Amino acid sequence: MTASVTRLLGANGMSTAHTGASPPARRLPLHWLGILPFAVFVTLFLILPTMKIVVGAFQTPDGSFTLDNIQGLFTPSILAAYWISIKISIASALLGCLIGFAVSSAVVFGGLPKWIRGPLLTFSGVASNFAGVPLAFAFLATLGPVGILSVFLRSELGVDLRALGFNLLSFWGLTVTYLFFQIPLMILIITPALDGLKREWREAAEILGATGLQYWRMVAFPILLPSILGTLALLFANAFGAVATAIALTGSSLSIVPILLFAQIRGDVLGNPHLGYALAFGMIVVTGIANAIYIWLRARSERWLK
Amino acid sequence: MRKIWAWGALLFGILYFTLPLVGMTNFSLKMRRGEYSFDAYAKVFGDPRFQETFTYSVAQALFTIVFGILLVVPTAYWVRLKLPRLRPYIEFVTLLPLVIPAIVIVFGYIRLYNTSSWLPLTGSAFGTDILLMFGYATLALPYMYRAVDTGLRTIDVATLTEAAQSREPDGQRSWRGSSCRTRSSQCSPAPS
Repeated sequence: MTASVTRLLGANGMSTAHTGASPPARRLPLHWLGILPFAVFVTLFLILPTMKIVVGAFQTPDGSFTLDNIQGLFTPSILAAYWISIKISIASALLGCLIGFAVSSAVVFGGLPKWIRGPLLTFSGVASNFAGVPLAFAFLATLGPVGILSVFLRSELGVDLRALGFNLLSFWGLTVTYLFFQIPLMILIITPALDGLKREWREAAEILGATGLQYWRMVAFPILLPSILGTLALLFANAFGAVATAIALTGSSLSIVPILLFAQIRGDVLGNPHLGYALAFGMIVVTGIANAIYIWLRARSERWLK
Repeated sequence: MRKIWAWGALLFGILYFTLPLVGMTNFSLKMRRGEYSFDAYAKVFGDPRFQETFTYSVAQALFTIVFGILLVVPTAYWVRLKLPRLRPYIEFVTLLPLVIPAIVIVFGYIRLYNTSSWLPLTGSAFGTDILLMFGYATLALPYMYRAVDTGLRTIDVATLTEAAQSREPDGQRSWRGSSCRTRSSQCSPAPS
């Protein structure tokens, strides 16, 4: 990278040295004008709103600097909301990764008919955007108290989900529901990566006497690790920010951070508008940490790949 | 052995994904007690409020796609052609909506563009529509930019532009040509 940059600079320097004899026709650098609309849009509708929240988290209502808002987050109820949000996000990201990987590798390596792949990827594209009220309704109709699966299990197999402690409006219920968009996202991202595993690598490993497990552990898995970690971070942020599904499913019976923030937007339930900023800032920090961990792990695994 | 395992994984996936859809469809057909009917659908499609909101949603989605394409395609093209050094930064910015939760961005919009701000977008119905469209476009940015950028990479924009410019000096035609080539890569996701 640095080498190519210096080479580029060197080449530039040489060309100016060559043209230095005759005065070069200098033009104002106007190239940047081409991205001006994009820059304005992104500044107004992505950067500024985020900055507003970050700054607002450290301000009192009259505009002076304070840490009280951040301190206000460390009350038991808000901490509990963050904690359950993080737990749901981690659980649904891990399970989504695992199941998505299993389905995707089944299609890529499992020797299944070729025609399954196209429909699966198309369906994944649709399902990964299936969220909010329709998704909540679909799961209520399936795993709710009178949902078809609950009724079927109760009447045909004598298994009462409710008696077993399963409730759709709970930690596991929300996790199972989130998986409906988490698994397809994993499939969409990991399938190209699995395609990138060359058949030769496997053959080389087998010729050298590696078992299937050894091949996966020592060849395929390290190569795939960056993509898997990246998807994990993405799925985490995806679940952590999901608000429409959560509200449609649980109303306000489960206190997770996005629901709390939504309630704060609607009607200032926390009694302090700037505590809302702090709440949102905390969400950015959590997803930011998730991504920082991803970048750090990826750097490590890529260094190991060399 | 591997095949059994693969079929098992696929079967699990199919079950998990079809059951909720079956359950939802099943409920939607049970408006009349004890028998299946399309009553619920007839009622919904006959409801003027549903028609109104449905048309509104479709219009929002279409406007968002048009706006997103108008914003992203020229930018991606220009960055590839003239400002390749900026590409990593632009890509980083377009990925931000995946890192910052949507509800947080919306919270920022409400505080930044409320009725007492310098740009009171939430003050009027039209302004709110615009803000909603911009919000959708922001959320779709990671997907749109990547799709377009990948499409541009596969067609070697610079060479095509030079080839077209050698025939017609204004570059307009090359833009048209390469935008045609890019079209196939723009299966941009509509906001849900």
